[in-house]
Amino acid sequence: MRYNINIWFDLFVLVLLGYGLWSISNFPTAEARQFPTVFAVPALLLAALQLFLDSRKRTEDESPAAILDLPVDPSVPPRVALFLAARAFGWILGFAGLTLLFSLYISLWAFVPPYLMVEAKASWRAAWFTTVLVAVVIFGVLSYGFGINVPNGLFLRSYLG
Amino acid sequence: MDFSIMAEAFFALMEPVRLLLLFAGVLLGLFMGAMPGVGGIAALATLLPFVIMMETKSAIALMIGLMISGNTGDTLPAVLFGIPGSGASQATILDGHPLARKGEAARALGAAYLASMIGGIIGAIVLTVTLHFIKPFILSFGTPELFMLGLLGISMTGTLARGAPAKGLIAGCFGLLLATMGYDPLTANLRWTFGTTYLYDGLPLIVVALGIFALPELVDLAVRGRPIAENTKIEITGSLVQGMRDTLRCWFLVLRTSVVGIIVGILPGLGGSVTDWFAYSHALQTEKGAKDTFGKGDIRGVIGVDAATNSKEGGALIPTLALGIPGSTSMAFLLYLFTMHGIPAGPRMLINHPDIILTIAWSVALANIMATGVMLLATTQTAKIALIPFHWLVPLISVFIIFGVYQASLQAGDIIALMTIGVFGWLMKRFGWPRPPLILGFVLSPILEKYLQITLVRYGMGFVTRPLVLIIAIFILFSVYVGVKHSSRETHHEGGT
Repeated sequence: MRYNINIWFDLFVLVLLGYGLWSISNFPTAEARQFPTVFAVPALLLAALQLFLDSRKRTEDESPAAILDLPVDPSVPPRVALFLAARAFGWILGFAGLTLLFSLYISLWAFVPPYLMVEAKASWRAAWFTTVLVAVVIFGVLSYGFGINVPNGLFLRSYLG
Repeated sequence: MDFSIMAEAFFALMEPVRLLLLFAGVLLGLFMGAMPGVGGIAALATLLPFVIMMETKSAIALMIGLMISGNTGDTLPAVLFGIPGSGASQATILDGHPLARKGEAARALGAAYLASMIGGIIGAIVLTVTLHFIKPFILSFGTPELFMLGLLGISMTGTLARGAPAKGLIAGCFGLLLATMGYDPLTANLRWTFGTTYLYDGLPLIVVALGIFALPELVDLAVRGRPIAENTKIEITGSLVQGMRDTLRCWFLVLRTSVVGIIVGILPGLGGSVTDWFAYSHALQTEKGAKDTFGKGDIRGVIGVDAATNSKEGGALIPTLALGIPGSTSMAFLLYLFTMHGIPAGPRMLINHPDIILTIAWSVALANIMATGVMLLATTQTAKIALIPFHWLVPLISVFIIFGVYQASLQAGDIIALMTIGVFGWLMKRFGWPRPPLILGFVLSPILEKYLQITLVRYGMGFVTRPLVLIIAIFILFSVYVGVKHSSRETHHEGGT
């Protein structure tokens, strides 16, 4: 008998919905409470039911592939997947943070070539060539051609006023 | 039927920029379809911030091109490598891949492409005709019925999540709740803003869509890293023309499975992943000698499936346009596009915007023709897409996601919300929680809240006794019953094996 890891996420959802329902009760008017209550109550009950069902399974079976959703690649073991996912999130978070602070004008060059060279083992020539192509599409076609705004980063905004 | 509006919509679509955008959408859709694991929904979510800034008909052309052509492109890896390009091409493998192993890959692909095109065009015709004739019926619906139909859409999408009806329903409710952040539309009271001004107007759908769909797929691409068809030599032998002849020979099968696809498409929540199986089993039961030859490389197995997977889009557009109830995530994005452009989908759209409806129908038909044309001309080149290592796509898609999410409100909150929702979306995927009901709930929430408020003010709780409301309520209960029964049967089956 193996312990079912799914219950941790079930529990998280249950707590989230419980908090949601509690905070609904603090909304100032009945009109504001009405619609969220209609859905929060059944959602909370279903979350409790799901937790109960998963806790009875007692096995770490395959997560049921949601029929409407893309399946998870089963060839990567869960522990490795978790590590690789955390690493990927780290890269993306770093890129997002750089964009937030210094804008895409700078973060693009600081993110794409290193990622390609480190993770995809690309040559520096291929990595920089790809980055230039992306820059042309973003700044040339989308920003200049279609007039889509490239926001300044927080740091640049405060520095430039 | 007003043929002048039909002609007007056609010529509007024929404008070079729109035609080019439709073609660009088709190419992108084929790319996504031919590369298993990326997913057309993630691509659609990534494009959404840019699409909503475009003029309405151009945006429709791009989105429809992307939505439609994925169903044609996903046949390629299914036939060549035995790997479905998307959930909609799983049944294609059963006969398509054995044909490829017999050296008749091109025949299977030729048959599939033509069947896809014919199925897609039939879907577009049925869409146009149906919307014209059901108009009087749809216009008789009041807000109580529309509210209940919205619930039906979410309950069907939620409960039909395989093996997890409760998870699907919770996800749907969660989407409905998430969208109530910000000002309450009736009293302007703030809900769940956590003291930040960023949430005063609620979470933008772009942020939620990118966080729930695009970011988790991106992370999973990074996890997988290598290409789907590593160290595989791409060899397409046989005759495309022979396959196309086979399709024309089986015209009645194409017609029947197209109808199957349309019917499945109309039902919210079923969509792509089951259409192929419905069509395959229909062909298996009705075609002569199929029980002996299907699964061993029978071309009719490929033809039946591909006609249905492309015709279902026409069917799925019917409830989206006529009732404002999207049956799938891509349809929810289309509905959001209409909202952003001030076009109310649903009964009012049938009266006020027939040109938009006909532009969509024409786009569906043309996208199918374009997709088939491209695949017939460049099958070998397109197959090489499956050899691209996923690591190369990660930084490129990241740039578009971050650039796109910033367009939502141009605030730092967009990025913080994206990362938070992205982690939640990835966990949902990992733990087998279906994400489409969440998006559907999120898109429908403001509309349903409005319908509920109007209903309660106008009819009080007495609305539950209206005949149509009762009928829809029975359908909702039935969908929940079917979902639970199906789930318990699967659990029992797993336990028994």
